[in-house]
Amino acid sequence: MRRASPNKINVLAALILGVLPLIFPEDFLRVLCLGAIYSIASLGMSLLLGYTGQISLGQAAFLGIGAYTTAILTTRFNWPVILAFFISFLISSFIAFIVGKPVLRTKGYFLALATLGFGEIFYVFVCRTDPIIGGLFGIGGVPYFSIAGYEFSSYVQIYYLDWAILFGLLLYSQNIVNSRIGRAFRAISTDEVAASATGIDVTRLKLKAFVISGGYAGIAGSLLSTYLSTAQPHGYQVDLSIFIVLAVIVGGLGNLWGSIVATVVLTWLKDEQLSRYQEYSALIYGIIIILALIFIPQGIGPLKQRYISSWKLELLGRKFKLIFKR
Amino acid sequence: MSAISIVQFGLVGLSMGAVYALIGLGFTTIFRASSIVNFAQGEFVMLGALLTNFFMMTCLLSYLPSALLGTLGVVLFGLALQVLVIHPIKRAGVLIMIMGTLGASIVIRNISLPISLLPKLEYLREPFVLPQVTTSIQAIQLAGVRISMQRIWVVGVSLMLLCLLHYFSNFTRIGNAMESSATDRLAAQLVGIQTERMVLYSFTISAAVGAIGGILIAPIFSMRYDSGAILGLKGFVGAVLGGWGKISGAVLGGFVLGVVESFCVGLIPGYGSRYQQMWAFLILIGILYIRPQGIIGLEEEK
Repeated sequence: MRRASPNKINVLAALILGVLPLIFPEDFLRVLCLGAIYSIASLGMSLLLGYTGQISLGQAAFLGIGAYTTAILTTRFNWPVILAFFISFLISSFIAFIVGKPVLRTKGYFLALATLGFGEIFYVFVCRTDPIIGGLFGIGGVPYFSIAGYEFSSYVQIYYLDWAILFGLLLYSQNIVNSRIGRAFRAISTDEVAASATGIDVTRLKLKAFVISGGYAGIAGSLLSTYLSTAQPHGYQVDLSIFIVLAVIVGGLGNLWGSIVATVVLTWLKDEQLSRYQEYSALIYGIIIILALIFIPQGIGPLKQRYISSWKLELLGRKFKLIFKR
Repeated sequence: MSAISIVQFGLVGLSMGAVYALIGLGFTTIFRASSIVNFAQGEFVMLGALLTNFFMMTCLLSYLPSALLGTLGVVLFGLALQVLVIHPIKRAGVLIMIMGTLGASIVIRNISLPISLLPKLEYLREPFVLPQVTTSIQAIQLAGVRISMQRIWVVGVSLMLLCLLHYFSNFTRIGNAMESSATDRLAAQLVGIQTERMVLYSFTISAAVGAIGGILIAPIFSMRYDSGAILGLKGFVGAVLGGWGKISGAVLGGFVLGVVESFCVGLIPGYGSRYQQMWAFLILIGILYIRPQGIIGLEEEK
């Protein structure tokens, strides 16, 4: 019974998402493309933070590593994009492995600081290194994503590509979550000592979650660089890391679809709505973060249960009962 | 590398370290009173300098009253932060606290941007330098080592503040109450100490200390509305480096970080100054790997 419900949601969501481009104008698809790309990163973050309970405020750096790897390989070495895409995934996973080893020895505030520090190291490095990486201006002219000569260049094409990749990763993540590893992740997030007492290798599994989240972020970064056709340092600052963690919190910890919905909504809010207010945008964004944390620290998941299922469904149920009584 | 330049970089590092020590002290003070790490600490530093600049440019006050009013303003911001942001999310856990204080830091950082739209206040978004404490003597020269007067002021005022705080926490009633609520919250409550009020005091102290650090460093580096975050993080790194949770650890770590960073910048040819902002965090990851409890930390924690 419980296994069936995520599948139903998946199928329903896939149908809705597949039809959307036929209804909505290209302008709206733009947000959905970006939303899908960031959702890939927050999906990885959801596994790390939502299931394993470890924070990372350095995700922007992993996105950046993915973006820069793709940009360098395609523009400087003329590699095909699809190959660069896979290499980006591998390299960002590998760097997540190297960084995760020392950093994951810490917890809570210190893990946050250490990952923030890693993000800062990456940012300073790409800003200040001119050969190959291009310093402050970054790398331009990254080609569109293409598979065997077929180029994804219009918003509709990019939309289908990004959501297909996101969907594949989502199914993979759901499998992880429902497997032995996923249960171990949850055990670690609840109580590390108890988890290790039941024979879970806490250090190794934490590292695993960290590497997965880094790899997902690398995929997102690679797609982002082909979407924007550039890789520039200012796109991969702390703000992006905060954004991803915020999306996972708002989506609800341990709720994969929730983090996707939250990412898309927050992307729409931040890139479409707030950017109009220029000088005010960052201020309003900060205030929204604080208000969200004060009023919905549990994310939107419980809200759905509280307001939709209990209130509206009950009303619906009463109506049905009335009908049947007659 | 000559001995003179090593001494020179060491002195520069000491003055930078004094500021890190003040920031780290702010982190530690709040953490001891409430076991919260305030990621908006760096914004106090920026805001201290920014408000002082505002009082000097727009209210046309002289240096000392502006600095005092600036510090006072930052204290008000600190108290507002505790009351409006930290208190409401206190029970929600570490993750929410990290994000909440980061959100607060985004708010404080960008609060001057809309204000700068007003006429004659455009300068609030530009980089600025505050005047030095003493303008008559620029620098002193001793056996070939040149040290600017402002750096001496930085170290001097910081040391004075540290002594003052030491006196405060050990020899005054409120200070003792704060110390005891840091050691054992429940026991402190049982003997009638209002720990909530102690948290407010700790925010007052750390905001004031941070603001003074900012006012002191702004003549040496140009400040801008967004330059607080990185200073705050480095202060945190210093406090972790020295030994987290201890006043002495924060101070020692701050000075060590300043000096090591200065040597990295000065003595690594070619790359040192290019990657200036990176060294502190590499040191952090190194220390977390080798000695996570910090220089003078005890073995058990973390």
